[in-house]
Amino acid sequence: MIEVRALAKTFPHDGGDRRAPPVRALRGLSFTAPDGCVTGLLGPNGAGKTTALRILAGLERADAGTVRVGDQTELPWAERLGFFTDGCGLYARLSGHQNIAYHGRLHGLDNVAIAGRIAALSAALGLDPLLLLRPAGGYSQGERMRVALARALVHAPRHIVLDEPTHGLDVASVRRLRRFLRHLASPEGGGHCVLVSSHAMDEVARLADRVVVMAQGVALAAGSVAEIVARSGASTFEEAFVQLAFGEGA
Amino acid sequence: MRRWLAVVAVVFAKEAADILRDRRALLTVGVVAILAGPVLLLMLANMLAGFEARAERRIALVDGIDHAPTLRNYLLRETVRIEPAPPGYADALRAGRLPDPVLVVPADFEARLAAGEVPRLVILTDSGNARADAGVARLQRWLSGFAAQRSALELAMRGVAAGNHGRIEIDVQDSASPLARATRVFGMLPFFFVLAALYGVWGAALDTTVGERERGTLQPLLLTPAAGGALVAGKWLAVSAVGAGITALTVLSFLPAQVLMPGETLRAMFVFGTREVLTSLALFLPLPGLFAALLMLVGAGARTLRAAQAGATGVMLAAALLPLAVKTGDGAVGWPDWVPVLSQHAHMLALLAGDAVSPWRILLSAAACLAIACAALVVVSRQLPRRIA
Repeated sequence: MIEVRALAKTFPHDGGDRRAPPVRALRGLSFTAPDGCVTGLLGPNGAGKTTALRILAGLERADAGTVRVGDQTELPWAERLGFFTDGCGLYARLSGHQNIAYHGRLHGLDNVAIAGRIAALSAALGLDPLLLLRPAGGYSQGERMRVALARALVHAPRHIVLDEPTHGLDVASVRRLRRFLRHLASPEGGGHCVLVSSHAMDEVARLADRVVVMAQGVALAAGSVAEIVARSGASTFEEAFVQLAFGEGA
Repeated sequence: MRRWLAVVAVVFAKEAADILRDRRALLTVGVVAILAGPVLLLMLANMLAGFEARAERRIALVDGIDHAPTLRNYLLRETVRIEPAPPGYADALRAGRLPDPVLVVPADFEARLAAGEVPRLVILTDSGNARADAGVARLQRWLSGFAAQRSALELAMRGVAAGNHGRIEIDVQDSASPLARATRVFGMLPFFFVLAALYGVWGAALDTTVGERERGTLQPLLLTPAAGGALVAGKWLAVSAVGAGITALTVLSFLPAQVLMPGETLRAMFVFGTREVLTSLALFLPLPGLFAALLMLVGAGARTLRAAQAGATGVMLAAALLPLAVKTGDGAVGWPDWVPVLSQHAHMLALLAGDAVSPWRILLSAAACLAIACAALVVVSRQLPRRIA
């Protein structure tokens, strides 16, 4: 289970402009992503989703609040967390196989375990074994994304955090990824905790068992799609999301 | 500790493979390293041969030699070939087209000489024209000889014995051994080895830090349980190993290059045998490690590759200018032994001059490199995770 409580983060200025006012990215964000469930973190651009996930991964330090991953509240939890973001690059001169294997070795896996994991992930993500032997510099965007995803999951983490994982993937790859993540969350797949962040409402609605709607650094609603729609009094999820994220008049 | 070392080995293997697969960059650096010795030695040898040939040249360019038959006779007796100065020689000297200075003889030279007056001769040169400027001393020597002979003759005509007129005999003796002279000629060798150590690690050191950040590969790396120190150590070892290979190749390229040197004299001046090669390797192989650490420090602190390259120029300038800015003294053990680049430079010059360099001074020099590299790597391992965004 991943549990976030009262997370706050303010960046002193916006990007490279030091005269710009501070940016309050998170203002007391709280949510829970249980085991055996795909949780979708849904919010408009600038809602603070990526900041929240980066703090979760240990890439940013929160100003206030706590994060619990499983039974652990202190970093590092790299061994139990698989983190993916679409900005992750690959080593262009190494093959896809070498890219994944490198991270497997850094996680302490031996060659046999790495070969097994690469075979399993290739099948699940639809990665051609021949493609994995080619230098990653020649991959398409979708191929790069899938290899990077396999790299993030090579150590079979208990908790999986994915930031915009379908960005740049074709329909078939998106469907395959969806099946794979649902399998990981299912009892047969090990009942993993899967947290997916996206600004694409339809994608989250299709994939997630639970949705956390957030805007301006706070969680506004949490529950299944049906529960959120019912609580908001809207007729569709889109309407409910717009009401929550942008206010009633939006 | 075992896990830490295992991570270092994994990162080292990956980085080495990655660097070695960048064939274009490797080929460029490798070819430059292999050709360095032959090209530099041939260049120096040709330059030196040119200087020697000009020093031995007994040709005087004179404007108005017809006004000075006495001087002409003297010069001819001294086997100096007199050639008339070409038209527009002043402009030619300024433009660097004329490789010799010009002796200008005034029209009243002979008359004033006969009258016992002091005639005036002008040697026209241009200090911006190094080749012509180098010939001034030769011309002055001949004219001094002429003046001395004239004085002796005049004293003899007045009944004073030539040997008793009180002039001072000056005999210049060069105490420098051929090896010491070689030090002056081949003094740029240490610069060259330092630069080889620097450009051998330049690209890879920046690529493993700021390059990784720009490509987005650093973030996933920092999400692994590998300790930051182990990641940095593995990267540093790989970059240093490649840099050491390039440096060794550069040093070794001077070994066969000696055969190409024209002339026995030059070959005798440049002694670069097994002892010199081994000492050079011991002196310069720690430098890639130092430069790799410093460039990684620059890369870890920079936001972009371009900013890192600008910062790395500072390292290059410091390495190139340090030996020029600081005189290393009389060769006694002192603070320069603790300063990387400076100590390598001083010891290499001593080696070229034929002096022995004690092993513990080489160790001191290596220890200084290692100490600074370690300090830089500690900072890198703390700074790298903080600069992911």
